[in-house]
Amino acid sequence: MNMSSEGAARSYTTTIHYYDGSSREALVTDQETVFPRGELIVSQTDARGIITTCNDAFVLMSGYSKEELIGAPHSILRHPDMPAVAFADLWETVQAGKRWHGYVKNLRKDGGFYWVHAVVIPKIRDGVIIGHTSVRREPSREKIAEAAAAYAELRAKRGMD
Amino acid sequence: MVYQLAIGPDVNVQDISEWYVFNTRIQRITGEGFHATSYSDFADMHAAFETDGVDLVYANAADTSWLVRKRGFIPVAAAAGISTEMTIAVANDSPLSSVNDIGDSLTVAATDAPDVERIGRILLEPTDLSPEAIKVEHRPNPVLVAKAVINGETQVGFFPQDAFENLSKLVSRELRVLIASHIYVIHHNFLASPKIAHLVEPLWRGLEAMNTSPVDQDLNEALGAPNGWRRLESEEVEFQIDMMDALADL
Repeated sequence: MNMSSEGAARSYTTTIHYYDGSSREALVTDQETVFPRGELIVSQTDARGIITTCNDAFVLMSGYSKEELIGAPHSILRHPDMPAVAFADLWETVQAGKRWHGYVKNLRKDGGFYWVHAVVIPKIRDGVIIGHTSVRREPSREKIAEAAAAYAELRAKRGMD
Repeated sequence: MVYQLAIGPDVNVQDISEWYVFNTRIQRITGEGFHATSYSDFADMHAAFETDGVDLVYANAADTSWLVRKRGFIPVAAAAGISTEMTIAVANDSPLSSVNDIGDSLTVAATDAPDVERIGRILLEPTDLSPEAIKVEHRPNPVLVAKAVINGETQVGFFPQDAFENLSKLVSRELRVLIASHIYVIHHNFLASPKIAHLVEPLWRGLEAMNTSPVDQDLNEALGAPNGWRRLESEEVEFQIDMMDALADL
């Protein structure tokens, strides 16, 4: 991990590891983008988690262009502060045909972050799960604080393993 | 056989006569008899859904989910470029200037429109209020919702955005927007019952013809489709259903 600091903003580059064994280098900063009030972030993926559709709020909040997002894995938004176990739970739940919801810290293209209350439901057509629909809404600051503390604890436990 | 057109309670009162004009148009388009019923609340219309008493309806997204999943309704059309949005308003003299000012509980006046209440509760999520802490009192129509707020009977009112915009100046000048949705992907849908599956194509062709007829522009506007109609595909309805599932109570 390489650390640097410009003014009050903290930034570093880190390697993000994905469940499929792949990884990428990403810039991470402590710059938060606040959820746009009254809006929803909406996207759909195929069964492999590849983004197939997304709305303008998704584009705005992620910092990527629509062209960059369509065809990219949804895990492109994974923030290193999010413990892998949270995504494992998400994946197992929706693969079982059930709805998952939780508080997620997402990574923007510019290294900043934004919190969402995410609901992911399986996209079932003719009885087959062909992908997922995800709707993200504005969480309360209290829920963000609770989630941040819980994820920090999970990461600390993981560090002690 | 006479089929049933349901005119929902969320239609603006001043436009109801145009829906009867539309009912006449449908009969001309299809060559079949249609009877129009205007419902004053959703409970009555939902009761008609339960007893197969509705064959054609311009349904909100919440009702669309139920009608398609439980009753096999078929998508026909949607208004081009129009989405269902909602507004939460307070009285002008309310101490609330944003949702962050809301305390441990909230009283709400609303009609029984299921889509509006669902979106309203989502907009209030940043307050961290539990579902039980948001007490909704139903009123028969948006004007009486507004009066409940103005008279201090409730702290806020839930309004479909178009109904809020159509309140008289006398009423609307007493209100202020606390928060409004900008969701864009939820909308009303023209749906046909399986009983009239054979009329779906003629109905669509009739609506499509209205898009290009200058004399139908006023009618389209009154029906909530100022930009005309577009064909509604099954996948889009499935997406609407997924959206409403995702927005349902957790």
